[in-house]
Amino acid sequence: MKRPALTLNTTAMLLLTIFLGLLGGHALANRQPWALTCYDCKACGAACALGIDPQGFVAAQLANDPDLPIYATNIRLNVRKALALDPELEITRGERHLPLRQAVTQFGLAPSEEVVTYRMKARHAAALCLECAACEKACVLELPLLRAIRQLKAPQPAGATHAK
Amino acid sequence: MTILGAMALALFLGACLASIRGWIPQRALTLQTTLLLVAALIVILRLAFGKPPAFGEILGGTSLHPITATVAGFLLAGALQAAGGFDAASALLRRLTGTGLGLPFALVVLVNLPTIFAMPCGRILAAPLMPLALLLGQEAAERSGDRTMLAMVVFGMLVNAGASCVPSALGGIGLLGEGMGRFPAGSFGDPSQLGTLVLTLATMALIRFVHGRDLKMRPPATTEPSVTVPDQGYTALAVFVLMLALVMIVRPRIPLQVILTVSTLMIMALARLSLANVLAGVILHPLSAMIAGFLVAGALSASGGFDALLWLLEGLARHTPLGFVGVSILVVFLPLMLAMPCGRIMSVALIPGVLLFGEKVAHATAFPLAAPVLLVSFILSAAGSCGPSPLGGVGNIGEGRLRIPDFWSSRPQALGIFLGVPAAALVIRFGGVSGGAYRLSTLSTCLGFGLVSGLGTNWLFGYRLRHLGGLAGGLLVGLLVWIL
Repeated sequence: MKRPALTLNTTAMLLLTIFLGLLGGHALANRQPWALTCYDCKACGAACALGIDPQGFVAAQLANDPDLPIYATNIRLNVRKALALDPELEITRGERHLPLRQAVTQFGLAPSEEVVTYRMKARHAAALCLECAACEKACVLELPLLRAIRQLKAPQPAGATHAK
Repeated sequence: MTILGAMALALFLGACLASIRGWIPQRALTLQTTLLLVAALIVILRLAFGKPPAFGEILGGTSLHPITATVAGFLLAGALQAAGGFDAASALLRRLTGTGLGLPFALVVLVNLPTIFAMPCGRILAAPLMPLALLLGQEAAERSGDRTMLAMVVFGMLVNAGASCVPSALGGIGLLGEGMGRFPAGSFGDPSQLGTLVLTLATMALIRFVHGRDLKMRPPATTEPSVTVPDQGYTALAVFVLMLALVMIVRPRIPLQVILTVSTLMIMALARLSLANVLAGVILHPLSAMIAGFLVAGALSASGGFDALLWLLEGLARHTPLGFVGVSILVVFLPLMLAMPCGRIMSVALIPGVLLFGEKVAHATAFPLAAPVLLVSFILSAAGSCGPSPLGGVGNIGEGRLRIPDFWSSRPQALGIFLGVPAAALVIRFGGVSGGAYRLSTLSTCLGFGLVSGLGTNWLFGYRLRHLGGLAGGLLVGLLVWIL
């Protein structure tokens, strides 16, 4: 391998290592190091009555991104409340999944009309979570998922990228 | 489907194809670097389309479990290797050839050993089992006067090793599929192992009757020296088997990685190994391939690449004579056509799209098991494809040892996988998806496949079909597949 190619490929491998390190760093910085042990088996998702994928909360902690879109497939909201929450959240309409704002324009939805969510930001899903702990019971490792949910639910200090 | 999604998907598939065809030479850009560049280009495309880079989605899409389990699995494998655990397994097999069960027993167990002791990467077992494969292969070749039998044993074991990373409880690709598809943990284990028994047998048959006829090879002149197994080798092997049994039978509610690490520490203490011995077992290639795969998958997901894939597949299914079944077959064998040196690249990047298409197939065909059938088949095809891959696949190890032309084994291995994958699909089709191990119905299926493997081995190596060695070996393989 010639020197420029060697440098490029070595840099790529280092970047991949840093990428992996970032996940661990975020888990520690968010004080949720247990998030690293998640199997990503989605057993928790099947237990949620609201159709939320609780692994998404873990992913939000690892990615340090409370705005990470996660699946929440069975939350019913009226259009007014949904728009106030996030006009870009995805809803299910027939067999289609589309952003709420687009659905309102396309189908002329009334503010009182009910919509079923499909994907939304992790912190919004956390805010709507019932904290019934069904996900914790379903987890094969019994991970403390509610800790991640409560942290995302907490109001964020100004300028912070993540709730502490 | 958006233009951005279509462009992202085209970039990914184009980069894979260019690497396979050698248009992007590996000596200039390794596959991991290429994938990283593809992810970067997709992010740039997003910016060009006026969208934010979505770093959070790319990071959040990474599944750490298979990565950490693979690292822990490699450390355990390193400890086993240094303690002589794999040598002990070889010596035990070698000893069995001296019993009344003879060579067929040893052969059927040897070629299927990688999938029985499924490791997170087939290369872990391929290297230590190679000396025994050469030894037994030469014995079979001398007995029958047919030198292709050596290639049958070597490539049978190698194709089996390539596919063995699917059922591994130590961070196998099957875990990825089970997690992403929300199927019970361990439910892909038995089907993929049984499919692997069939593809191993098929590869050996293809070498014997089709591809081996014009084979010119210069195998090592002398037989491999017998390895002296240290006492702790047998103890290390026992610890490993007990650990596997603990994981499979008890399914404790503690992370698998912890069990693996404790087992590694036990073997290290028993064999007085240093950290360097253990670290030597770590193979970075599949790890970096997996991380690069997650990065691309995250970028594809954030940019609508999977929606584009789904649109393309659904369009092909609805508007061409292929239909949903025909397109499903194309999807399943796509990794075999774009054979990567590590099956995790295609698996990680495309499983979400395959799952979505599986749901469409289930809806269109009114067959509820379509998604798991499609997924298991796709993953087994992807995992096995590291055998025939021209980019440094597992098959190259055998070609080097037998001094035969590069990529000679690609064709029989690829066709063997083509024939073996439907067997895994049939197991799911008739057995369903269940994580509950040790069901009697599963036992009979495993023993049945084992018996077929034993009968086939007897026949392929010129023994009587009902030779006790092959039959007993096949049944033992079936039983071990069921237990482990």
